[in-house]
Amino acid sequence: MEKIKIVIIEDEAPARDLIKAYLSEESDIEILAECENGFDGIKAISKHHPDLVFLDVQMPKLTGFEMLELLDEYPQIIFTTAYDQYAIKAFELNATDYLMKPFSKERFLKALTKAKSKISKKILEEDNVKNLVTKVKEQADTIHRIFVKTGSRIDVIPVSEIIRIDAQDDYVEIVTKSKSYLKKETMNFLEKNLPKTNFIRVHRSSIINSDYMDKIEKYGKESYLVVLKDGSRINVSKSRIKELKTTLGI
Amino acid sequence: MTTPVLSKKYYLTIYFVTWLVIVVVHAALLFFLYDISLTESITDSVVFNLLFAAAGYTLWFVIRYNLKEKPSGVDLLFQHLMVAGVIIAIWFFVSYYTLISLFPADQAYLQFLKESTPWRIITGLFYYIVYVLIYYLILYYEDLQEKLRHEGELKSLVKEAELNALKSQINPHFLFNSLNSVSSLTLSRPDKAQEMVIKLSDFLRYSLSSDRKSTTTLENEFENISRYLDIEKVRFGKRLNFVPDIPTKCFEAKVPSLILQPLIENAIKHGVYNSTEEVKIALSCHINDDFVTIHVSNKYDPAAIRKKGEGIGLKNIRDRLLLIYHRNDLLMIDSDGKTYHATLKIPLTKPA
Repeated sequence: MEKIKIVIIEDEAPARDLIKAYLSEESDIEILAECENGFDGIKAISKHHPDLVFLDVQMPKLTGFEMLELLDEYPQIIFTTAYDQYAIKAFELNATDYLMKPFSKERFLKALTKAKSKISKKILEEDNVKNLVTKVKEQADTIHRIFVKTGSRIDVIPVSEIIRIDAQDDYVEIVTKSKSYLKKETMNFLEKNLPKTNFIRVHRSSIINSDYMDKIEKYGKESYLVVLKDGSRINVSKSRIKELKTTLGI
Repeated sequence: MTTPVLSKKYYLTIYFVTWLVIVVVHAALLFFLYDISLTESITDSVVFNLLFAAAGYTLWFVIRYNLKEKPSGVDLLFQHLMVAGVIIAIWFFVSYYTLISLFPADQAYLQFLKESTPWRIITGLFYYIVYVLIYYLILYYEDLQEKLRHEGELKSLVKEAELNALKSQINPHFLFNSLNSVSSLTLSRPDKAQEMVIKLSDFLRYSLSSDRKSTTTLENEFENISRYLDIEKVRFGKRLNFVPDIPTKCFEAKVPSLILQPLIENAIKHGVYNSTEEVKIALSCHINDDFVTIHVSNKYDPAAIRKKGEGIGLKNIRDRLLLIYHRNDLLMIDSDGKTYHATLKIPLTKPA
């Protein structure tokens, strides 16, 4: 029988040691990688194609949920968390298994057995995990960074560097001072979660960062254009003119 | 402006009933004892008593607002004599001349009215005294109620502040992750697990035993954060690099207890939590005649800062500094986009 391939993604060494210790008596598994952060986690998953991942929710740079969003494939996942009421709510809504630190061996083995049975039945987790990620995103606070994955490369864009965002079918084009990126994301999510102090949706298909605004030009009778520091000229829809003016305080 | 009489329906009823009884008794006395005719007896009683009922009603405002300054002994007596004099004089003359104009022909009654003047004045004085006593009782009762309510509010505020202080002292992430580390160490390194449990216990004990006003030596504070950092070091390993520089001459300085821990915790939260690399947390200290100055700095990732404004930890420090030293300029926070600096200036002399 083929062994179950496991990747552990957890930033604290003692926590990784504990999972390894609990797994040490299992003969039908093999640990292919231990990762200290989400970036290494993504690499390990695309390299090893594990069946099961132990994933810590709170990690530096890239949290467990942010990492999931960037995956191309979805193994079985057992989340570990010390204290996160929002995440726990989301897990329960999605019937996802999670371990609250510190967890007993008994509780750990129960989660493992459940995961093993799903793996043997080849139950795919993709929809489940995607649902979970969406749920967590809905509860998210204001975002301060955006991750874009292009091939195997992951870019972290601090929102302060974003000049504008344009809708491109199912994708959004994120334009910064130096580059532009394509990401699968909705304008509605970005409108809702980018800092409201300087990000304004001026049109169904454009969000601008008012910090990079040069001027507002009037053209025609009731139409306006926003001119940004990168030279781009963005149409402002009639219905959003008022919003734009209130945000700018004019 | 409401008077106690109008404040409750029930009081109004008592007021009316009391005066009605007085009116009836008064009229009955005149009719049966002094042989005054029924009409005159009733009119006399109604005029005198209803006018006093009205005067007494307005007396509330005098007591409530004019005598509110709480004058003492002689002043109070003098003020009351003046007010009583004025009220009784007005009441008596208005009643007297009303009755004279109502019954100009009844000589016997007018004679009686004239002769009864001293008694009327004495009754007026008696009514006045009863009014004042009742009003003072009501005021006293209201005051007591207000005090009790205020005290209750204050108590719940204090409770809330204590609870918040406790919550900010013990971060659940810290607690549960540390316990998870202990759980792991019990399997791999039982001796280290024991050491960590003891450190964790000492740290929790120190946190729980301090109250918001207590002060301690900087040495104790330093020991406490050393324990805290030892625990965190087990979790974060090489990612956490603590570099303390505290000259021994600073050790005896008195500082509020648990004032350093929130600063170090912030440094870990914003520095180490969000970093995959080593983060240096530097702690330095210097002392002069007036202040001991403590400086904590750490690198942080600006893209990772999620929350705006100051967290509960810093707010708590500011609140306590204000409480103990009555100053709000003792904690300075500064960041240049990469490094975060917190500077704490603790006066060496505590205000009384």
